[in-house]
Amino acid sequence: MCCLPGDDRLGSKRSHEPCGRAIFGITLPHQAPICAGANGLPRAHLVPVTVVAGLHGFFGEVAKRHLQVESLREEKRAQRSLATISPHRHVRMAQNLSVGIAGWESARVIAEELADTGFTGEYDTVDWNVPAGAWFYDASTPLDAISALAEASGGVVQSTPPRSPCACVRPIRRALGIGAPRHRITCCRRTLC
Amino acid sequence: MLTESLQMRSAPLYDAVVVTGELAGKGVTCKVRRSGEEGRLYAQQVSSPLITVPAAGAERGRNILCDRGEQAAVDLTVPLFAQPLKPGEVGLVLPLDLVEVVGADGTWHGQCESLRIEVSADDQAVVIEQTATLERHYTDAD
Repeated sequence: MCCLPGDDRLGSKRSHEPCGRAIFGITLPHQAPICAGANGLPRAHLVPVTVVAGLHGFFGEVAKRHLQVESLREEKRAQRSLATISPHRHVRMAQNLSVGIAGWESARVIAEELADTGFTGEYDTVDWNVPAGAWFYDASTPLDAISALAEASGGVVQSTPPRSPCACVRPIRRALGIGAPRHRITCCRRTLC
Repeated sequence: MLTESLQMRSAPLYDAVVVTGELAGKGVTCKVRRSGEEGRLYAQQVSSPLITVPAAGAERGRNILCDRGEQAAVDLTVPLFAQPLKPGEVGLVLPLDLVEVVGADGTWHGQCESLRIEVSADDQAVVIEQTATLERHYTDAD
């Protein structure tokens, strides 16, 4: 459910939340039926919206985030689609990230994942300073700059690592073999069941 | 598991790559080779002005050399259950997570590339499903 300005509310019929390893913000296409609240929804961009949805407990964190309506699109069957994008990055950066890569943090997180699995992972990047004049990032956001640093060493910034108090850089791919299941998916049949 | 689909891809079995900084006097050039292999088949050279220390170049090379052999992007759609999980239930899978899949043809491991969560409400029922795209390596892993 979305709370709109004026405390109007939109009931949700269907939503989906995609994310990838290189995405910091979350684009949350939100499809809702037209109701009294939707009629008063302005078409201008950047309307603050607070998502207060809570389904099975998984969207509790989203409840406190203020999102912004990026665009409105009226659809057939008397429905409107709200595309929202988070203006907040939700990244708490360790100080040393401003000058380098927190490789030690990555190693710790990966080591925790691999514990008791028999697999090992290595990511030996150290913090390093880029010499003056070697690179500039005038046109980049701070996160773009950090991402570029991570990419240079074969890593990617994980914006909200679940077991870490700060943003960390993790390798795009592990030195295979891949290991360390934190999740187990059991398949009974390979087709729709 | 509700649905499973895969898209195959393959890459040569690179065992070496040259990673270089772009600027003379500031960047470094590293030849990275997989240990235990001859280092004769080179992946495409990579350059970046930010590679100014050997450690950064080595890790960049390590990641490049991991992207080889027979691979598949496997899309798995499973129900998303809340914590605490009961036996047989699958919790939230996040990008970069390592995932063990127990299938009819054995157990394999993959790394989550992306995730899509679908929530739909019909009448009184709320259905939450997640579709995780896993990168599976056949050549260098299971």
